[in-house]
Amino acid sequence: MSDAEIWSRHCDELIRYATVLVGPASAEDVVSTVVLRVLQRRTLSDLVDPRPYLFKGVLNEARSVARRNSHHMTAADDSVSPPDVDPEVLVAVRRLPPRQRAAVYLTYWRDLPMVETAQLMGCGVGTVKRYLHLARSHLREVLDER
Amino acid sequence: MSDEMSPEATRALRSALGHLESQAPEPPQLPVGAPLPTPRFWSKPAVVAVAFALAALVALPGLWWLRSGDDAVGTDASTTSTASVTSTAGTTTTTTVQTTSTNPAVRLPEAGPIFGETTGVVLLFDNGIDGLTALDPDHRLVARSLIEGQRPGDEPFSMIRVADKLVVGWGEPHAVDIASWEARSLGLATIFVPAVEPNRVWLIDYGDRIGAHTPRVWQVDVNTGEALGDPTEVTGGDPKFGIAGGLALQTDSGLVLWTMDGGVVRSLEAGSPAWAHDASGDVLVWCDAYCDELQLTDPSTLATERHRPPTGYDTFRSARLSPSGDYLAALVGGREEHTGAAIWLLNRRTGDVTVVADAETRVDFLAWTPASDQLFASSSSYRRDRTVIWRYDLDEEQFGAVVLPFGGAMTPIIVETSLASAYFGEHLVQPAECQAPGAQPSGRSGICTFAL
Repeated sequence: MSDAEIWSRHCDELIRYATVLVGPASAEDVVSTVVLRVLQRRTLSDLVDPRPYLFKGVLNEARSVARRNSHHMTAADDSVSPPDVDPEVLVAVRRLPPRQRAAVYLTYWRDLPMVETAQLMGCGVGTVKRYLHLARSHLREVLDER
Repeated sequence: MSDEMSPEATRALRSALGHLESQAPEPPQLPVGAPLPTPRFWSKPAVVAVAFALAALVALPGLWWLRSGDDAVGTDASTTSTASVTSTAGTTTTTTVQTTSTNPAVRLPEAGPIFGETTGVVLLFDNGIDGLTALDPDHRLVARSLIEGQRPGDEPFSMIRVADKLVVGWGEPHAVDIASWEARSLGLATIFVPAVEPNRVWLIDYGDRIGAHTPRVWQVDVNTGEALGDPTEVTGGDPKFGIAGGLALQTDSGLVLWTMDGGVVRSLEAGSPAWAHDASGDVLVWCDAYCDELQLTDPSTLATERHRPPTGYDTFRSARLSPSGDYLAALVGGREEHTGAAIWLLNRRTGDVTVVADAETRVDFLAWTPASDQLFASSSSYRRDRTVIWRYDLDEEQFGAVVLPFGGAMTPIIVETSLASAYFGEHLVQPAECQAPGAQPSGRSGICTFAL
């Protein structure tokens, strides 16, 4: 498979993943940085399994962005949320650290099984369980009212 | 909080996640034969100007430092200490706080041991790909080589020492003799975890990825490669660490202690998936998901000693018992995953605690010398060009740090210098000819060695 085919297959889900992790303003930079880093050394088609490699790269880069910024999301994320979205839940999700947010997104929005979530995050299943537990704990105050 | 969420809560969470995802911009195109567009933050003139200004600020001390004839190497400038008294569980203990600086503009000693005195040990690091990086701090040598059986991956333990062997790899873990480098397959298994019995390691086989199926477990002798008993299915949880005669298994609500003879014999409730950090014959070091309290539990009696992080820190990470069992070292940090970490050191005989903080570099790994007389810590340097290494001499009660000009140094293991001579080639090359591998597999063969 060529680099273009690999990119075409995964770019959309990578951008969406990055958007959830760092916000729309930085998502493209995060994904571009990860792919450029790969292309500096080899081609995408050299990767044995590009999808988990790129997902792990996006998460790592998102964590770097979070380290650089004292807040996790950019100002563009302060936009008005649609009526079906609880603003308190939205704020609580935005406050989650990147790895917890990644675990919640892959599990509760993408509906991925635990094993696949672990693979995309580059960690073990037990680690994913821990991040989910911590995330649910952080979200408890707003979600327990439901 | 229960780990089950109500349908309403799940729906509210999904709506929020869906809204966040819906803000995604259009992905950039990757035309055939052309590279991706440069990240936008590199092309914004104002940001580029700021970057140049920052680069100049960084370069000025670096130029001074290069003028001194060094190659991007530093050591700690100063160490200060203060003392305070805390009371834990009815006993009074002393907490000493030291701070170190690893400002990279400070020079390494021009000659002699990089820590200023001989350590008698060599630090072996997993290079993150398929080999190791060895550092002899006394002779200022760094070597890199392939290790048979090592593979890049996300297994819980990438490299551990058992007797005079390194155990490495996943899928087919290998035992590598430290002195001769002879490697032996330990059998087909997904991962390995440490055992507390001498000369042994636990093999854990999930059939595929970790957690994919019910694990089968068995012990092997690292010296002979012989399996000690038939594989046994474990249904109580995920194996995390060996205990006497068995394993600590992670469950959704804590740990359970499982033995080959009796199955699940005891449970350690935490209300969340728990973490087993280390174990010896008589103590299991573990914590709950938040890890704001480190517990030292005797697996046979469940007698437990508890420790909280020092003032200014929220959680523990990476706790390591000294081989003698007299000391416990851990990393402490803030609740946010990316906040800085410090080294916390407990004297288990006296209860005294020492904390060393370094605001400039995050500590990631801890390792004890075999004699339990020195503690080393290092920064993660996978695909980076420098590694920070801290050293604490327990006799001198003094921390020091160096910033070294190489990367590819993860999860250190400390071995006696006399054991590790095979890791260093006689022919020295330039550091640029002995880079950390960036590809998988690295294609490296033989040893390359360079001097600091």
